[in-house]
Parts: sequence; structure tokens; C-alpha cells
Amino acid sequence: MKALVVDDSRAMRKIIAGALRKLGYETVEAADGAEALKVLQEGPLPELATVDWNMPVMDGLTFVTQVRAIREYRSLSIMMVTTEAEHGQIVRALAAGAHEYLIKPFTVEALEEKLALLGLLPEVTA
Amino acid sequence: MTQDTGLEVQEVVDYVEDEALAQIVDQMWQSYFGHVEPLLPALEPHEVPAPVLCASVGISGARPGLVTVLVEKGAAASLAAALLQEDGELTDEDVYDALGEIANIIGGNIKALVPDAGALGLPAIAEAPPLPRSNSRCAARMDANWQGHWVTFIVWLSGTGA
Amino acid sequence: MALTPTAFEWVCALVRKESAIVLEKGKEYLVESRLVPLARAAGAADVSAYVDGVRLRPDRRTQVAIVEALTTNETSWFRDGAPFQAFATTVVPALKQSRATTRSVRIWSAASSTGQEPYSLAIGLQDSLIAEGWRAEIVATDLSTEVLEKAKAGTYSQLEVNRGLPAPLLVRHFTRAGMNWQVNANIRQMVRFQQLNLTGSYAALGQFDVVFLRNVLIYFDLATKRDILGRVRRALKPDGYLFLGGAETTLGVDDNWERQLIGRVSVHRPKN
Ligand SMILES: C[S@@+](CC[C@H](N)C(=O)[O-])C[C@H]1O[C@@H](n2cnc3c(N)ncnc32)[C@H](O)[C@@H]1O
Repeated sequence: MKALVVDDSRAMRKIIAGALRKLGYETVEAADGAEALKVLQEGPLPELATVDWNMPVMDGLTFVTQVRAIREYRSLSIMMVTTEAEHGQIVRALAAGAHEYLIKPFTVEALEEKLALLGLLPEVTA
Repeated sequence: MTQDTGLEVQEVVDYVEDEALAQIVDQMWQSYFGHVEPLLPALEPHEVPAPVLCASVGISGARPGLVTVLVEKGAAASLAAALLQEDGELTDEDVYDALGEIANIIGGNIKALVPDAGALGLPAIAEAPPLPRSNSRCAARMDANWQGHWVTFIVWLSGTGA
Repeated sequence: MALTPTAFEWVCALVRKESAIVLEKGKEYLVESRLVPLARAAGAADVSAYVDGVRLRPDRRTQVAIVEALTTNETSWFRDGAPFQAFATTVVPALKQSRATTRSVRIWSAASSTGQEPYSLAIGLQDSLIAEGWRAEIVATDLSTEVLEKAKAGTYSQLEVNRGLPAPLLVRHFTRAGMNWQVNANIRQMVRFQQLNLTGSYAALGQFDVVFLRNVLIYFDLATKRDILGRVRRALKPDGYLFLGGAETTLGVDDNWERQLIGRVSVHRPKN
């Protein structure tokens, strides 16, 4: 499985992508929404995108809104991973088309449990 | 500062208390740094000795705020290494990035405590703490020690009259 | 300072007598680390000194605190996912048929820890039974009064709501309360919390349609497991459902259960 990790912080991208790779994902990274759109255009379409909210150039909410306007990207599962923690912000992100929402700070177990909710937790062979 | 903004500031300041800041910092440590070493809160206020690095993020809106993380320069690299789980040499950019993300995470969680808060800004890094707005007050502060180095977290908030 | 063998053995015996939890040799480190905060708060020099203090001058409050400190309260929302799915997609529809005359169900969360399990069940019933005007009572019990207090308040930290709770359910059933999130009153009202030792009597609880007894049998010895499963069977209606944890089974423990597979989840039904 393939995941696109969108966050302006390299440290955070590394934490998320590292955890996903341990689970067997192939990962690509993007530092803002515009860069992430480019990655999607180049294809192939990943199964999952984790998306930060506050980023330069194009923020995560705008990115989600744009992705949801494109039919070919329908199968992409989107999980916001952000420090935005208000009730109203989560409602906005879900309304824009995100499927899940993980608030920073988060533990690796929490990330895995969210993936399980999306049906995107690969069977790890022990 | 006029008398009445002062009162308004006092009201705003009450939304964020030391305890809330400590809880956010604690959750962050549990999530990202606990495997290296716990953070030890100081019982007394403690200045971070120079030279320092400071990461800050602004909160816009009716009650503007600023969240700052101040660390000894020497500790900044270890913090970044712990966050990145990397042992090798880090570039300055990596260190700034990691420190900025710490400020960002605290900033977002603080913003959620302030009613009608606006947007969270992007993190900025400097070698000295930024000057808060003239009408703002220190709403919460936490001094702590990590691996023998001092770290200070401060939340500044302004009144609606700003 | 390492825990003395005498202190360790005394703690193991106390915990076993009060909770049936088995602490084997080799768990010295666990015992010590769980008791450090208590020893510190009591101003004892170290954990052994703290334990010796209660050992030589028995004191009920301290004993209870030691036992509670040695319970493992790890839990999460909709833990393991699949059991709650099986509950919603198979068990609830079956109850809708079999309980159509009374239009009410009773569920027991038998080691509810900090409340995520019973509240997950209450949330899971919203769009089915509750929307259709059924009555659902969830009884949630635990040995530890400390976790019960937290469960009753229904207030969880951000790290806790991050764990296994689908975001659409978070925004629908929780309200932010400062740094934390609180389960909404309509959900809280569905759950009745009560202190209960699983080694004691269940007579006062009445009978249930569904029992969740998850991730607690693992701490007990075989005889205790058998005793508890036998008595849970009597607290369950003859056509009721028992859910166990992923590492728990009735097989070879109490053979008066029929296993029914729902997807990959084993659900246990009383035999005959
Ligand atoms: C790991 S938690 C399980 C929570 C939940 N059922 C789940 O699956 O996530 C185990 C709980 O069992 C409780 N417990 C341990 N011994 C018990 C006993 N003898 N009687 C009742 N509860 C007990 C502990 O206090 C703890 O809260």
C-alpha cells in the first residue's frame, strides 16, 4: 500500500512516514498542499493521505477540498493529522471530505488504531 | 496599557492556565520524547541560560496570542534528534524544523482553549524570544529541565481591545 | 533500592486474595514501578519500606490502594474494532427480533476500566435501538474505584480520544471541556457504573442479554477463570451473548459454552 504524507515539518513527516513504513507502506512526502496535488497528478494514486492543516502555500483544508472535487481521487482515504483541536475544526475537515482526524500530539498506537478504522491497517506478519 | 484593556486581558488570560499548558507539554512528551527521558517540571521559575533558541507561533483572532518555546541552544539539537529518532549530525534546518513543530503542536492545543480564536500562524525561529504585543500578558508558563538543560514554554494572550 | 523478596511476596499474596490477579515471579519490576508513586506520596524511604509499613501495621485504605495500583487499566474506544462490529451487525439485529416484545436490552461491561468499553457500546446503539425508541441499560463494573470515578465523569484527555474513536463519533457524542473531551449527557445516562469484584456475587446485577468480559480473565488462574465463566453464564439469559478479549477463550476452561463465529470474532453462547 502507498501513502502520501503531507506536512510542512520534516520532523513530523518523518515520524508519520516512518510509522507507516514499519507497517509495510510505501510512502511519498509533500511539504504543502500544492506539492501534494502535484504528487497526486503524477500518480499512481495512493490509498491514504495524511494531511496537516497549517502549511505554507496551500493549507490542508484547501487541499482536501480540491482533492474531493476530483472524481479520479475518490478512492483516496484522507486522514487529517494536525494540532488543530477545536470541535468545530474537526467538523469542518470532515465536511470537506476527510475521513479521519488525528490530533497532534499522537502516539504510534493511536495512528495505527485510526488506520484500522479506515480499514487501512495492513496485516503485519509477526 | 490602559486600565480597561488590562481587565479584558485578565479575563482572557483565565482561559489558559499553567495546568493546561503543563498537560499539553506532558502529552507531547509522552508521545514523542518519553522514550528518551521524561521532562522534569521546575518548582521555581528558572531562566533559560544563553545562548538560546526560541520557536514561536502566533494565534490570530479576537484575542491574539503567542506561544513560545525557549531552549538552550545545546539542548535544541538533542530535542530535534529525539523527535526525529536520529543519532547522526542534524543540520540547523532540522533543528529549527523540530523546534518549530513543538511550538506548533502546543500552539494548536492552546488555541483550542481560547474562545473565538482565529488561525494559527506558521512557526518562526529566532535566537531571542520575540517581544510579545504591548498589551498582552503571560497567561501560562512552564519551566522544566530535560537532560540537564532548561526549557521554558510561555503563552502570551491579549485582550479583545487589542 | 530493589524490592525485598518478603515485600514482593506479601504484595502478590494481597493482590491475589483481593482481586484474584496473579503476579508471577519476575514481576518484581512491575510491582515496584506501580508502587513508587504510592510510596512517595506516603513519604516512605522506598517501596520496600512502604510495603513493610502496611505489612506490620495493616491498614485497609493502603491495602486497597496497593491492589488498585496493580490492576492494569489499559483500554481504548471500540477496542479491537471487530467485536464491536460483530455486536452492531449481528447481535443487535438478532436482539431486535428476540426482544421485540419488551423492546429493551441489558448489557454488562464486566471490567469496564475507565469507561471506554461501556460508552462505546452506548454510542454503538444510538443509530439502531435507541433511534427506534428501545430501552438499553448498560451496567459497567470494575474492581477499582479509581477507574470508576474517571469513568463516571466521562472526561477524557486528547490522547485518550485519539485512541480508536472514529472522528465522526467524536464530534457527535463529545464536547470539549477545557483540555479534555466529555461524553455527552445522553450517552452518559445510558451507563450505570458500580464497583464489583468479579470474584464476588453477581446476584444483585440481574440478568443480561449481552456480557462484555474483555481483557480481564487473562490476569486470573484457571480455577478463577472457570468460576467466573460459570457464574457469568448464570447472569446471562439462556440465549444471550458473551464477548471475551482477543487472547481469551472458554475452550478448556468452561465447556458449557457454544462458540459462534461472526466474521473472525468468536462470540460465546450458553450451551443448551
Ligand atoms: C485491561 S482492563 C480491560 C478494560 C476493558 N474491558 C477492555 O477490554 O478494554 C482490565 C480491568 O479489569 C479490572 N479488574 C481486575 N481484576 C478485577 C476483579 N477481580 N474484579 C473486577 N475487575 C477487575 C481492572 O481494574 C481493569 O480496569
